[in-house]
Parts: sequence; structure tokens; C-alpha cells
Amino acid sequence: MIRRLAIILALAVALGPFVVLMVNSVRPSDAFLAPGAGFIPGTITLDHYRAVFGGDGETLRFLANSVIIATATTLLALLLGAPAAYALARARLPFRLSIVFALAFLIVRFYPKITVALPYYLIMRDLGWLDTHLAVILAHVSVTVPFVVWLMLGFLEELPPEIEQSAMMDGCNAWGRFVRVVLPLSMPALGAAAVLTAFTSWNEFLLASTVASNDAKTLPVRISSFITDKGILWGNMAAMGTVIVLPVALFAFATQRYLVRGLTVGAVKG
Amino acid sequence: MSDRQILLLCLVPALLLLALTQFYPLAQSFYVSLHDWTLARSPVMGEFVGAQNYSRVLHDRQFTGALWFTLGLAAGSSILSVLLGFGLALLTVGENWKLRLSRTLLLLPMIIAPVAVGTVWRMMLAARIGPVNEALGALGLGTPNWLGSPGLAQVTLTVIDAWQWTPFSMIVMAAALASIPPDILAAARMDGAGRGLILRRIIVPITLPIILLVAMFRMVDALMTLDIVFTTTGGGPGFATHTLGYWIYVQGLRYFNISQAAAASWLLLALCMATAAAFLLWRRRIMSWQVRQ
Amino acid sequence: MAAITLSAITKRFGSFDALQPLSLEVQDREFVALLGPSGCGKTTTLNILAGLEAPTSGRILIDGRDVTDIPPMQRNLAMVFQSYALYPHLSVRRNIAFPLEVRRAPRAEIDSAVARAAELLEITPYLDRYPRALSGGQRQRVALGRALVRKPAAFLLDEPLSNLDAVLRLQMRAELSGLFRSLGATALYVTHDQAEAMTMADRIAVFAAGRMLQFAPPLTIYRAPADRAVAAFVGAPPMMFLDGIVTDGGAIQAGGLTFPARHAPLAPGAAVTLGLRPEDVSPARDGPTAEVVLVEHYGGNQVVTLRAGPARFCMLSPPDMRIEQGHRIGVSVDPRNLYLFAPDTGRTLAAPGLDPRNETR
Repeated sequence: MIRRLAIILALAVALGPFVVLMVNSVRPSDAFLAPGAGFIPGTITLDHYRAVFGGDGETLRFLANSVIIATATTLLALLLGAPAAYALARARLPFRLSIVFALAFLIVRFYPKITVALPYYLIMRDLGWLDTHLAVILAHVSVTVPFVVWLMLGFLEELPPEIEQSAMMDGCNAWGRFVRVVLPLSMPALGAAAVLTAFTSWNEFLLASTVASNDAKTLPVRISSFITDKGILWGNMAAMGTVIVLPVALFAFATQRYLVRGLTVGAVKG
Repeated sequence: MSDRQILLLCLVPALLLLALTQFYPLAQSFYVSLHDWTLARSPVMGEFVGAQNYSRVLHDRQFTGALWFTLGLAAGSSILSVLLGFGLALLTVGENWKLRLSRTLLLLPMIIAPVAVGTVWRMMLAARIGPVNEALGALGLGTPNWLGSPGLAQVTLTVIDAWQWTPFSMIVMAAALASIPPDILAAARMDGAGRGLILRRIIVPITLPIILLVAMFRMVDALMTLDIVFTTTGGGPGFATHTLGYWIYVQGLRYFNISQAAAASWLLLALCMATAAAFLLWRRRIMSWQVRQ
Repeated sequence: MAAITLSAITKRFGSFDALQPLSLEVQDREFVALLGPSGCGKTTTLNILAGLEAPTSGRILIDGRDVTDIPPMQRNLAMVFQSYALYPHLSVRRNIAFPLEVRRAPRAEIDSAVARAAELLEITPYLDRYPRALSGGQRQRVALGRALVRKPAAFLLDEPLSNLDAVLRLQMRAELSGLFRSLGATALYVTHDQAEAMTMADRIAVFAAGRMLQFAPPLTIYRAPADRAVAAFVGAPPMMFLDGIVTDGGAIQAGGLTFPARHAPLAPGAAVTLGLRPEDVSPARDGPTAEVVLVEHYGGNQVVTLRAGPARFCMLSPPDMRIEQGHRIGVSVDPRNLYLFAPDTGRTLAAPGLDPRNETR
């Protein structure tokens, strides 16, 4: 009984703010200021969504940017990360290079990206890639590939070696073994990696805000500048927040199996 | 093509990308930190100044203020989230659908963009329209200015960060708890151990390596905090809630004070690495002690 | 099918000699068993032949072609793994077709080859199932089917029956034996089960501690073991060993018993190790007596453990004979069936199979 109450309390604390966010996104503007107006608004309005999406259509563009960048990041991170992990797990490199490379991937997790953000800005400026999708995508891939690699490495360790030896005897070279046998068997790990990569890219703020000023701006960058350039329009802010939060929440719910595996795998095996 | 060549071809693109987008910028940032460069004044890098940028940054009151706030936030947030996460894991461990659903729902804060979390909490804590103060006011408990007074804003930010990342420690520790062989717990119960004793003498020691790992991730990540500052306080009031990351961001990308920002960012990097290393060493000591037992 | 030659193969893991110099010639269409306890080097030998591991030194020839530096996929060998190593994401049909698909064989050819293999192994009804929906025996057949479907130079089998239960193992043993005999295939078969090796193989290579002790047909291994280790490993219940001395009359005295012997002359007073197979010891009213320590009745026969002085040995006796624990009974051994080994080196000095006066049994 106490346990159940505690869980309900935890759920309220964890989810309550999101309920407030969504309710505020449909609360009429004048109801925000009325003291004691109550939590449930008397009338519901879609004005804030209209305001956010209407007019110049900018938000729609930022939404599209976020979708494009998250999708491309996920595909590229898997495309680069999965083969790299396979190579690290199977190639017998001299001088313990496999460990060195694996650590190179790992260490990306442990330093602040702000250290990289400044020079990354300069590099993109010199290449003339500032404010392009590519600049954001490359940045996001570079922070998510290490994760894909480590998740896959953990998975490949568990794969019984006979399966690949058998494929070898059956005539597959390394690429054939990877594509025909290892990849299909890695779907759970790949799924987990894909889900986490997509989330990371969708939510990422620092690197995106560093290189994207307008054309390639993503939703998180947009919402961070919301306060300063328009004063506090609570309703619009809530609508904007909902646009960022809701897709992720629904996606998380749909992919919870992969999500949980992705979040726990590295840590528990330690 | 030999297998070895194929595997190398598989490895090279990812390594190349990492080198170009992470390691080269990392090296360049270190190089810049040793030179004099303010992008607002000059498009090209100035002369070599050695460790001058570092000493200037370390004598900057704003920087040291940000350093102390960041350390406090990281310590507070990681302790809070590890304890709460462990508690939530104990509460929700189990395999029936209600518990599983609870765990999934409790994950929500951590999968939301930190900037959106900042927005949400700014709304929750707003002076007049926020539900938190409305509720407190209705109960006659006063209406604190959560994000507006310096000391309280620092605490508030720490709690918001803990709120966002408690689910991370919960989900990892729930997995750790689930991996304890049930036989061990059954044996302890047969031996007459009560709940508290089982928790202290069996569950915590067994999961300690993972608790420390979670604490390390939390601590290192919290040291890098910057996103939520943008949408909650914007670093204010005054400079009270400047984290190191936020300070560097403002110095580097708003004032283009590049060389000092680079120096500060390397100090932050060193802090993160040292923290990670310390935790790993501590963990190793504890694990070897376990082996020796 | 092909002949296989291993010449002076060695394998070191760090400072550990997993394989002493090993030379082995397998003839075309021969079924060879590699027999030995775990960790003896037999699986290493198979893996080296397969190309899954590289030898530290030595050459491997298949039909005279040196394949030492050729990767496994180009050696044209088929392997059946102890764990079967079926591809869990492919149906039985695609599992069997896999080696042909990899080689880009025409569709029609793949289909007919799969159908033929499935029929031979009686797994046609399961072709569209996935491995996880199969029993152990069925998985075993699928693994065999995947090996049979192409025409390999040789089959390599790594303890293929060890994951089956006892009844199924006997049945599959007979089936496999018949299958490979009818295919006329060259096969190397790794096993730690001497019964499998004895019943299936044309020749057995006995391994211990990284060394091949003997390579010979099953009956030769049994009746003329190269040394004490081979003699100890082959035979169930196992051979028992007694410390003995050659008497002036040329007999062997061991543990208070005297056994008349026919062997190459040994100096009187010389120490020898006497080996007795339980089935060679029989009850005899007028023989020397020994004390019955233990009687184990197996239904079809009984194994009697006897003690004479410090020596212990076993006797296989007919099931209906009443033997009481603690009593003394007379025993005799046909002098032709004595095994004698040098006590220091373990080398065989005399064995039934080495004696030209013994007729083949």
C-alpha cells in the first residue's frame, strides 16, 4: 500500500510538469494572468499553436530541420558505427590498437562538448558550412557514433563465435559474415542504438546552436531563444514545448523495449 | 580483398569522422588556448602567450564563481539523483505490467530535451502563473522566488537537474537489481535476515559497483551542465547560476573571447576527466575488495 | 572428396604448447576420429585444419594443395559444430541453402540440393521452421544438411553428438556412420567418446596433452596400444595396471599373483607394468585367488573389483555367476591377453595385437 502510494507520488512528480505544459498550451492567454483561475482552464484554445506555426511558417521549418537532422544522424551513426564495432571486435590489430580505438570512441562520452564546439564552429566557418544541415548532422553523428560502437561491441561479445565460424566455413568473407549473419542477429542492439541516437539528436542543443543560426536551426535551439526575442508569451512557449516533448514521449512509449536496453546495457555490464 | 582489409575499411570511416569532428577540434581548442585571440577584434589568431589565458581565467571572479556553483550543482544533483533513483528502482523492481508501465512513465524526464525541461520548470515555478506557488500560496506557505533570488536559484537548478536525471539512475539500478540472483535473496530470508538487513548487507554491496558507475556518469554529466541554464535563468540573477559550460558558451560564442573560452573549456575538460578517473579508481578498489572477500 | 595431410603442425598459445609437432595423413574417403580427453589438442587440430586457427608452424595440404595460408572460406571444407551453430534468423531451408547462396549458385540448383539433403536426413517437414522450434536431434540434422548440401573436400565434425541425450546419441551414431559410409566421404570426427570412435572410424588418432599418441585402426588401438596412456584411455571398463616383476621362469609376478606370460624375453627381475582388461580376466577354480572388493551388476554382466596384495584389478564376469563381496575367488588370464608396459616410459612391451602368434580376433 505504501509502495503503491510512493509510486503514484513519483509518477505525479515526474509527469505533472508535462501535464501543466500541455494544459498551458491550450489555455487562453488572458487566463494566465487571472489569479486563482484554477488549474483546469474554462475554455480551450488552439491560438498558441496557430501563433507558433502560423505567420512566417518558421516553426514548421525548424520542425522539419529537427526531423531531417535526427533521421540522417541515426542512419549515418548506424552506418558508420555498426561496421566499425564489428571491425573492432573481430580484427586482430597489432599493438593493442583495437583497445586504443575502442577507448577513443569511449572517451568522447567523458569530455564537455563545449570544448569542441568553439573550434568546430571555426572549422565549419572556414568550410563555408555554417548553418547547413550537414554541419549539424556531422556534429550529431560524431557524438552518437561512439555510443553505437559501444553498444554493438557489448552485443558482439555475447554472440557465440561458432555462428560466424560456421559462416566462414560456409564460404562468407568478413563482409558477408557481417551482412548476412551478424547484422540480422544484431537487430535488438541496433534498435536500441537507433532509438537512443534519434533521441540524442532530437534533443541536442549545444552543437546545433553553435553552427545553426537560421536555415538549419532545430527546435531546441528555437525554444532557447524564445524568451529573449518575444518576452514571455507563456502560451506560445507551452505550445512550442509541447511540440518538442510530445513526439519524443510517444516515440519513447512505442520503442520502450529498445530504449530501456539502450540505457542500461553499458552500465550494467560495466 | 582479405578479411583484414575489409575490416579495416569498416573501421576507417568512423575513426576518420571522429578525428575530424572531435579530436582535431579538441587539439585545436588546446592550441588556441595557448594563444591570444578575440574573434571580435581579429579574424586570425594572435601570438603565443603560454599559460596566460589559463591564469587569467583562474583569476576571473566570474569563472571561479561558476566553478563553485558547478561543483555544488554536480555534487548535489548526483547525490540526489542516485539516492532517489535507487529508491525508485527498489520501488518499481518487478515484472508485472503495472510496475513495467511505471518504470517507462518515470523515464519521461530524461528523454526530454534539457532546454525543454528548463522551459517546463520555468513555467511551473513562475511567480504568478506557476502551479507550484499557486499551491503553496493557497496553503499559506508563502511564494518563494524560486529562480529570482541568487541562493535559491542555485538550489532550484540543482533540483531540476536531479529531477531530469533521476530516471537514468533508476533504470540502470532497476536492471542491476533485477540481475541479482533471486536465490541469494531467498537464502538471506531463510537465514532470518529482515528487509533492512537484506538491503544493507546484500543488495547495496552487490550493486555498489553499478551505483558508483551511475554516480560517475551523473557527476561528469552534471559538470557539463549548460542547456537548462538557457531556458530557466539565463545565468542570473547576476552571475549566480552561471555554470562553467554556460560561462564558456557566453564567453566564446557570444563575446567571441575565443582563447579564454578555450582555456576555460580545457579546465572543465580536465575536471571531467579527473572526476571520471577518480570514480573508476574508487570503483576498482571496491570491486577488488569484493573479490578478496 | 580429398586426401588431407597435416605435416609437422604445432600450435603455441603464449608459452603453452597446445600441439606438439603433429603429422597426420588422412586418405581419400577415410573416416578418421580424433579421440582424447578435453584439452588434449584434438579440437585445436580440427580448427587448424578448418583454418579457424593458424598453426604456429607446419603445413596443411588438401589433395596435395598447400592451404596453410588460405582462409577457411576458400578451403572447401564443411564443418558441423558441437553447438550446431545454426543461423537463428534463417529458416531450416535457408540454413541449408546458405553455403550455396553465398556461392551464388543458381536458384534451381539450390532448391534441388536442399530438397535432396532434406530428404536424405528426413527433415523435409521442418524446412520452413526456424531453428529455435526444433528439437536437439532435428537441429543436429539441419547442421548436417548444411554441411552435405555442397560438395566439400572433407567434412569436419566437432563432437557433433555430445549435445544429444543418450538414446538419441546411439541412434544418430549409427545413422551418421551409415551416412558417411554411403557418401564415401572424407571425414574428420572429433570426439571424447571412445565408443563413437571405435564404432564409426576407419582409423583413430588418439590424443593426450597436445600430442598424438597413436594413429591406427580401432582394433589395433585396442589390442596393440602404442603405450600405457592409449591403453588406459580406450576400453570400458578401463584397463587396470599392476606393478610387476619378471620372475626367473619368465612369468610376471604382481601383487601376490603370478601370471604366465608370452612375451619378448625380458631379463628376470626386471620391473614391468602389467595391464589387464577386465574382459580378459575370468573366474577359474584352480587359479590364484583374489579377494572380492566390490561387485557392480549391470544386468547384462557384472564388473568385479578384486584385490590381491597391493594390487587391484577388475574382472568382467557372466551375469548369472554368484560372487560375494569379501570372499576369495580364483582367477585366470590367458597369457596371450597380457599387456606389458615399460614402467618408466610407458611404452608397450607386449600386447595381444602385437603377438604374431595371436590370430586376429
